Amino acid sequence: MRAPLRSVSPLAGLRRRSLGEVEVLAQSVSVTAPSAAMASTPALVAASAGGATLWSYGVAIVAVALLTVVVRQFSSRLAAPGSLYTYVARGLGALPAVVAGSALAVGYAVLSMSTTVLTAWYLLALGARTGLVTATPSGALTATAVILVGLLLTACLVRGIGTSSRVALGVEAVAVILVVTGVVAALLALVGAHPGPTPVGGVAPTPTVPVGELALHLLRGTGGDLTGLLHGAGLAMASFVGFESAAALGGEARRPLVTIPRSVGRTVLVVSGLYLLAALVQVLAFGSGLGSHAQPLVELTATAGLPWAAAVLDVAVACSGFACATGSATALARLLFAMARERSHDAALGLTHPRSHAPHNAILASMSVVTTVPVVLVLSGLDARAAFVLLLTVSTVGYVVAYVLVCLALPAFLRRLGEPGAGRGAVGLVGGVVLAALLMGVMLPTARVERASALLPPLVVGLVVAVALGRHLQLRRRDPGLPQRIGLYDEPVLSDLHPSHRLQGGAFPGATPDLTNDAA
Amino acid sequence: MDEGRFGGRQPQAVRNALSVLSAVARLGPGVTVKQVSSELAMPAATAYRIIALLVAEEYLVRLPDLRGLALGARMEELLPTRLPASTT
Repeated sequence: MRAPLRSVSPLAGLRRRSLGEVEVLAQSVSVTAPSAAMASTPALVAASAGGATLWSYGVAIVAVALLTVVVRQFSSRLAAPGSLYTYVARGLGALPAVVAGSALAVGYAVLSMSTTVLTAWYLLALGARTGLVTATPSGALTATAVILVGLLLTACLVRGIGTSSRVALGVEAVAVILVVTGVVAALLALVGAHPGPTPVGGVAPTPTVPVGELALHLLRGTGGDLTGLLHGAGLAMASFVGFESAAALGGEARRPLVTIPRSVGRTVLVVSGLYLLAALVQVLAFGSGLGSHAQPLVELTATAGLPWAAAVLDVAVACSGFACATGSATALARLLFAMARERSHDAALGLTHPRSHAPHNAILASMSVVTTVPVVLVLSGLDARAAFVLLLTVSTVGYVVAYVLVCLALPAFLRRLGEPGAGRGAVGLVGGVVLAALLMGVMLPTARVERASALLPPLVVGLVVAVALGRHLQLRRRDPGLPQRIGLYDEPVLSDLHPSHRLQGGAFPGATPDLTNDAA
Repeated sequence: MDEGRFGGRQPQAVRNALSVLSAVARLGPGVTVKQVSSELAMPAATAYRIIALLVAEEYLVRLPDLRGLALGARMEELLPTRLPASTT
């Protein structure tokens, strides 16, 4: 494509080059939500993987490492609010991009829903602990909590990205410190090999074998079957998804081609360590029974003689859930915004607020869906935990579909750029295969997850993707230029060039023929 | 590795980066990585890596075709230029 150089970015309206490195990092960290994931995911993984829980985490970490290489390759070359959607468009073209974009939209939207539910659930748990609400809140009460959380989220988001990312990072930082403290306290209590003071509340988890022996047993992975391991790895992916979401700030970050890949890499490094620690401690404490505990960390800290820690953990997880819901909605709004600027969606979604520079229409559209769906689920009789798990799985399937495509897009993208990169291309292909295996793993029924509930998430994602493809094909019949516009990114404008290179008329070697200022 | 020490292969890396910048300045906007590497007789892999770094730091800019390069606005920190009254 030989496009003329513009004087205004096609994504103008967002506050360009306004976010520093901390805010960019905040985006990735908050959507990954390490503290909520440390507290809630190991039990979910164990419910599928049984004795192979740590192996499931290992497989997920390998997949995420390969994906990180891929995302860093793209994000150091393209500053794109559409993130993975735009990357796939630049590598594989319009149709795969529509698949990746709609799957990613499901990932962001449903992750935001699930963490909105998580926030409401833990707030209610805190309320129950302090005697404000009953221990088994009614659907209506849960729904009210979800709506309140949703409104608070919308208020933060519309204030603009600066406010929402700072709130999210502060909240997540506090939450991580609290959860790590809880995990370390639990670890010390376990290693100390004596039960500590009398357990207060909760069920006392007692290791059935000495810790060293149990560790060996776990590493051999006995008691888990391969489908269980893969299913567990798919769920472990749920705790990583969103680490790439700093890419959605491509239009707003300062020096995006440096800060975004760096933030993505750092997030993965830190959370991988945190997850292994959290999973190890919980597996050591509960063994293969971990899967049946709803709030294992809370029980652990109570047994460790820290009854106050339970309330603190509730606050931490609620905070982390809130930060994640904010970050996911931020990324979703940028994705819809980018699509609207390509005219894949209603142009109104591509407007930004004159003062906050937030894409406010895209935010309001996102948040109304994000709040309504969980309210319907909760009112239809699902309890908060069941709604959370269902939504989390749907979201993960959406993300992983986009992840597979972005991996496969890397070799094609490098070839389009004319760069030699056989090694990096191979990383993309291998990553695509590993992630596809995880995707299959989530869909497989295991000894512990029956067929119907394993197939529901891929069905939901498949349906959304099919609708998006149908809509795209219909749109491009009226608008044949649409496929060429897909893949819009924050391309350089005249003012990004050194004055001596702001030539007009294109009289230079290398021949981008038409380097004109179209606003002149 | 001692971050404060300057030695080993670092001097060559600095030399390479500067020669890439001057090659882009000399050849003009729109020059491709391949042209830069053959102009400097530099291995393509090295040229790609250096250029990726310089683009990320915004001393160079990848033009919208994603192949052509130009000097970035950040070069103005190094060599302030007054824009001629009209470039037409």
